[in-house]
Amino acid sequence: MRSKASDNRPVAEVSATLPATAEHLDRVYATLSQFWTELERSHPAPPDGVWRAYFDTAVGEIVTNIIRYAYASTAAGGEMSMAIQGYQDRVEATFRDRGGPYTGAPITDARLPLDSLDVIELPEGGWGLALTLAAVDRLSYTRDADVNYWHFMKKL
Amino acid sequence: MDIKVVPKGDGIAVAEMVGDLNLLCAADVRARLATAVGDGQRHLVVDLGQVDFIDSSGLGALISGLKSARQAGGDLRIARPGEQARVVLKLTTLDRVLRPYESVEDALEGF
Repeated sequence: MRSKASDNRPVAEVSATLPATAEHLDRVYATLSQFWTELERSHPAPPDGVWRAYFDTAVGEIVTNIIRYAYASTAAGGEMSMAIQGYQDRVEATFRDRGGPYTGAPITDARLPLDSLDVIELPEGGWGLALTLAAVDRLSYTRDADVNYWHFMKKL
Repeated sequence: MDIKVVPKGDGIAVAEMVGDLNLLCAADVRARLATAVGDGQRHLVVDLGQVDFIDSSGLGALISGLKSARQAGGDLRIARPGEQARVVLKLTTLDRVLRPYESVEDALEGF
């Protein structure tokens, strides 16, 4: 981790490579916490707790998506890398994994599956990508040379 | 995640959760809530006061508990959600059916 003063360079950044398993989610949260501490020190107007909660939610959903789907067919799982960078006007996150490709509908089509308020008909899954999309300003997915890249950005 | 279901009598119970409500524990939480309802605790208050983080897997477990409780003629209410949990409820608009209560006592009122 390092801090920089230039406007076009990150003022705070953190990265980690860890096993893509639910048992290691606490390391994801710890990495996030480390980032917020660094951004608090280096940004003149760091985001408040509610703003961070939106960003944290998106991080949690993308990581869960990688664990549940990218490595779904691999019993041993795999690794994922996460990198978070804070700038003067935004925070960005990038995740890489070597699991299977995302084959769902285009991510920009993700919609919350809440069609009615009939509780009995509420779906118990399918919320993740729509939740991520709603929490950030830009979300993208690409796959290149057997590597999945998830990236999102939220404006400060 | 530690979860303790505390019976309060008359089919009412408080599910006290400590930790992160995420993919790691969602299946267990789902099972514990279903068991509570199956045991006759159809009015459930889930105390999120000591839960720092909820993801969509955890949300699914709460929805499952809500459905079980409603199908048994009861209800499931959320008490003391933190900032991040409120964001998840708001973004999903599930706060319309899982209205957050400020305290466990408030949530228990009327059960």
